[in-house]
Amino acid sequence: MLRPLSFISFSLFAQAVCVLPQETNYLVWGIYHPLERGRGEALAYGIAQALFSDSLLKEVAYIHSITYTIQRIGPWLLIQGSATPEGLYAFFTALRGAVDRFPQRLQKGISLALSEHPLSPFFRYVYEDTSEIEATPLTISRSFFSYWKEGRLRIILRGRVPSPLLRAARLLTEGETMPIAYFPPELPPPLHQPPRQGNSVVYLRWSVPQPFTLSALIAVWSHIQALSRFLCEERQLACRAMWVPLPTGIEGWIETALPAATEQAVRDFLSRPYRPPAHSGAAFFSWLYAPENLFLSSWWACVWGIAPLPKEIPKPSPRELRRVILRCSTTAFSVSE
Amino acid sequence: MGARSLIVAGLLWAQVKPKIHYLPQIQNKTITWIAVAWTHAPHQWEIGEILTSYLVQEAKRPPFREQAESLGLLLDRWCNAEGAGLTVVAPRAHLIAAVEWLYSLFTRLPHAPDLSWQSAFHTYRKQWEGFSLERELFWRLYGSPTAPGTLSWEQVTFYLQTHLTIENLHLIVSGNPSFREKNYLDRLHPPLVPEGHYPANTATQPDLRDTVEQNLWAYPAYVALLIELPQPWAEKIAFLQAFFSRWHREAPPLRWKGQFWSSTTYLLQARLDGKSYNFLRNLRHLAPCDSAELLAWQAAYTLSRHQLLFYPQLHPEVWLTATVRGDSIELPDTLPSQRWWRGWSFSARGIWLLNDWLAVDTLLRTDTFPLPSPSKVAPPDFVWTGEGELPLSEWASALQLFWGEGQTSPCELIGYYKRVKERSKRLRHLHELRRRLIQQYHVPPEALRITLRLMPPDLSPKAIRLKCYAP
Repeated sequence: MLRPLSFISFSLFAQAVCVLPQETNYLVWGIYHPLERGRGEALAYGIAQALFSDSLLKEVAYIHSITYTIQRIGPWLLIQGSATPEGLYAFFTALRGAVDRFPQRLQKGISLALSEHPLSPFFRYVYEDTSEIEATPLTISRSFFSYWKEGRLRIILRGRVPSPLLRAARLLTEGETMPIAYFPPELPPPLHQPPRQGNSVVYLRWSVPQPFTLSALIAVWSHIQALSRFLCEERQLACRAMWVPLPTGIEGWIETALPAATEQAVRDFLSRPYRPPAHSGAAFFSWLYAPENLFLSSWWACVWGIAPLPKEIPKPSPRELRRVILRCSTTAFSVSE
Repeated sequence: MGARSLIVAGLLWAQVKPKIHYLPQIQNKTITWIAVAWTHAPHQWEIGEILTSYLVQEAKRPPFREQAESLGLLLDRWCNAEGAGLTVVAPRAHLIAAVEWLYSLFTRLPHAPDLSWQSAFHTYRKQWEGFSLERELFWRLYGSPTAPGTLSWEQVTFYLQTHLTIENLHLIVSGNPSFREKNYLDRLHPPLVPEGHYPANTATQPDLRDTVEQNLWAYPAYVALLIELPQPWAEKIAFLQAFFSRWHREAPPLRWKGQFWSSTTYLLQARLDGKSYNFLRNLRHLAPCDSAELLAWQAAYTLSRHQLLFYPQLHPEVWLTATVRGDSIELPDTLPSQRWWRGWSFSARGIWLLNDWLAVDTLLRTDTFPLPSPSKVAPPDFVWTGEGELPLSEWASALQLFWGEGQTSPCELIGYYKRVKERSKRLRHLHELRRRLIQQYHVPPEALRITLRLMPPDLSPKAIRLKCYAP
């Protein structure tokens, strides 16, 4: 159902460093911060690029074989990678030094850049972001301090996290943790026209009622799996989607070449009577620990504050799943350039 | 008499069971990784490819699909020159149920070229429809005896009867199941034919001549190479990590993919620009240039090792080929420094498709790509920042390796001082270290020289540097 929402801001006051313990030295890590109202990608991405191009940090990343990517996803700027605990400790320490040295770096000037994610144009369009902004030293400095120094940074660590690494991560996010204000995007006016057919995206957002629990996560996850199966196998419209956790729920960016038909299919699915799946606990458990979903599952659990992860197969009751889904509200519209 | 022979045959048949391997070195205790694999002749890998795709398609139909969802199973397939198989990831509590589910999937093996088989065959052919350079390179490299997608049902039947038998089947389970579970797994039988006789493998390995060809369509360069790997598994992983680290740092490809193909080769398919093409053509020996590169390679090996030991599903070919062949994968924490410094020789043979325009491309600049001489060891350059124990043994081994190549200019043991009054104390310490290296580690005295320098601002005063110079 389309529900036009007024600008609602919701505060996420989660822990700055979210640790998901797991007995492995193959650490999956991520640093993310919200873009203010989902805008300012060019500034935030340029600042992150300048920070991570610090020569000492690059040397440490090379020596400890740390790979990472910086991209804008939905309303977040996300840096994710994998490393060993020792390597990540050195990396975070060097990153802290780079953050301290950034004001000097700023004097040399930084270039604004845009993320190269294939869905980036759609992120910018939905959140009404623009790449043409005035990049004065003052605006850059304000953005840097707002994102990297004033408590909006969040860190995810999944694996065996020794206490020195935790201390290094906390040093990066030192200071009082600020609440994250989230402004859900509305249907932009130009999209009232039916979009032309072509490579496009259907935007879908679930607002999940608080408080977030593991059952709520399982309910939304299984509903997303059912929707993906419906769109890919039954209607054969779209088989690829990106899911981004939010402080209020989750949003999905469904890639499709037939946006109008896919939007209609999504509405048809959402208007069907909900039948909770009989067995979702085991499938969810396998998804949670699959290596291809390591980062998404960690990010989702951390944004919703559901750490630590369950060690045994959860068994949510169908009544609880139904209660969560029926109380969700959804927003869906197709996006076309 | 007839009844007795039937009983004996029945007893003999009941003894036939698949080989079961347990991988206790896999550290993931929350999720279990199960694989069922079989070996086949290298020239029959295409049939294995189609068969495993067929079984994965069948697993998406009821009742397998509902059972897999209720148990939380994630199915995947694997196929290469040595064998093929199916892998399943399941929660630890559903280990037995997952194996039973996997075995029951074999009841869906095709017995006739029915609609399901034709659909799988058609899907396989469709993915190679049209001109695909990757496919062309692969077929030419591996020399498939028949054109792809023109298999006869007799060939498939022959494959099923010779390779998909109980004796040829391997069940691989990660972790260490309990005694009761192992007993139960021992008694499980897959619904396959216990036929023990199959003809010896008479297929020959393809001729791996190195060919460089001009290609009007492939720009800039496409390659399909088989890279020789060292024998021990730890060195295989270390060599590949070193190669990828050097390759992506010096001359990254435009696109690449690779897999372990046989016990001694790694199949690499890549799209390259001029610089990367030159890099691969000229690379003969892989050894670290300096200590920073050595540390980077060691870290890459460590990370890869952690990934292999915790997420075996990411590299099924490593565990499956080794287990089916009977190798044991020993992955120590790290390799000795001397092994890293010695490096490995690099040999890649296969098909190199080159475009004429590459010669005039600005990317093709051979002068900006200095390669280390393959016969010489890279001069070591170590810095000890003053924390922890001084790694004298590592320094000594690098020195001995480097000095043995007939160097003339000595290496320097560099110390730092902040104030003039510290100089004598630092000199005494350096001379003591030099004495230890000569007496305890038998480093030639002419190989080491002491130098004292004013301390740079970002180093600890206790720091010591060992620097050697290329002749």
